[in-house]
Amino acid sequence: MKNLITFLKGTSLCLAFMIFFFNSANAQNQLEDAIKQLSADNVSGYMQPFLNGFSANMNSGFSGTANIENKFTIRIDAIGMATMIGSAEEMYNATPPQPFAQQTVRTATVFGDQGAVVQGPEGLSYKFQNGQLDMDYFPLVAPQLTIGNFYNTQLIFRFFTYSSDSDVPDIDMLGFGLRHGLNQYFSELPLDLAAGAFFQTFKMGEIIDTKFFSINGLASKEFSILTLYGGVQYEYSNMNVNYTLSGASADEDSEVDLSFSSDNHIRAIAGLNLNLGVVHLRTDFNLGNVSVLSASIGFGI
Amino acid sequence: MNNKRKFLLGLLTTLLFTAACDDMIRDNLVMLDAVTTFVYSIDTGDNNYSETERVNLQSVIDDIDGDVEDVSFYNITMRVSNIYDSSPETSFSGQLTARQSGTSHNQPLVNFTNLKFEDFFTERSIFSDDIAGISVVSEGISTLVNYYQQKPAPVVEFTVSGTVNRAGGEERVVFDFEVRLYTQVATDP
Repeated sequence: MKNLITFLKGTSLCLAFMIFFFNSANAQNQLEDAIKQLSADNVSGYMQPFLNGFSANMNSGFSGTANIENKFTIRIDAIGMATMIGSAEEMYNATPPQPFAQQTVRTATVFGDQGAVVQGPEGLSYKFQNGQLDMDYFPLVAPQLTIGNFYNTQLIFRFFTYSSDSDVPDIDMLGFGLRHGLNQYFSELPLDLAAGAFFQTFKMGEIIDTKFFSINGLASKEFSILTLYGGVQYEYSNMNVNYTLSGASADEDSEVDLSFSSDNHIRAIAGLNLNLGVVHLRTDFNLGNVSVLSASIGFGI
Repeated sequence: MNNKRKFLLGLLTTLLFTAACDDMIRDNLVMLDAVTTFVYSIDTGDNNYSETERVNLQSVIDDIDGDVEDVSFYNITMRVSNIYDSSPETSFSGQLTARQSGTSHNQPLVNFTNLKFEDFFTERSIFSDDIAGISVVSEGISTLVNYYQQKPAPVVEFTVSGTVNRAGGEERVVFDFEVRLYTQVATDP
């Protein structure tokens, strides 16, 4: 157990590193500063690819088996997830402020490079926000605790928190879920079946608050230490951004409070799981609007 | 697998993902918008008005977090924010000028003629084509652009002056005239 705690600390530290890429060397929150310059019309386009990748990751890697028997189970996993970031995720259509022509312009999302420059009257120009993140793939790591199994049911928790007095924003991640084995309702099934539901929240700093919800059905088949599994999942993720717009006009509400949802709703899951006693290795591929590769290493029984 | 191997495996996982984080931040500048607002409280018993506000452009820049790489402005707007008991159909004419503090030359930025109060209850860009009677002075805009390029940026006096044309029978014309200067600052965070 002592080593499990050490391992959990290690993975939490890793999550901290993963999240701190939002911050520059002098600890200012680059992403938050960039967002605060975006009008309500533009912020969802700038952040949509981020939400798509983020939510696809967060809704991944819950489990690698549908076998949920009535026996004591406790496991700690470090789950890594990654989505691909392509050129389609680097641009969106934005509207410039007055007095520039109110026509949409293709410019950089948070994953893009330089913001577009529009020309206006009297030689004036306006530069859209630059992209801030440079990624070919969007990785994330989360620690997960699984406890069960009672009445063919197990509970899943994800938790991470960070708070400091520095400019680095506070981070709070909390997730919980419930999985239930279905084989008890059927006789002599050639596969194990399970259903699960999960809810997670991720709050970063003062302006970003994201909620994730998913339900899935999983089927698995064990071959000695190897388990093959697959399933389908419905998911819904919503990001709320709440900030004071820096360049708001006098007639404009400078308080932006906007929610938008991810483009991912349905995914198919296929993966394999290796049970090496107390060590569990798992990987799966998730095919959906945004595809995810997920892998985990876990310790427990 | 013994405990030492488990720990090393965990550490390796952590290091792999930490390495994956490297170079995920772009070197791009962060564009920050800032708005400088000056409100001229005009109270005139005759037809003439003139009010001046001083703005230390460098202090506006210094208020920005991070290393400022470039500053530019992209819009100037005008608004009548309060007319008290004056008639909304009262009109005003005149100009907005800028002058670097310590110099004598007032550089007009925009001239305006017969603008009704009621047409400026909402914010209007001086560059907008929607309202007749506004004439932007290109040379003045260029001068203002240059003020921002100076290091350090100077103190600038913005003066609004002109005449009012009463539409009602009021003895005095009292109104608040708001000028907003929209700037964009490229910062290296």
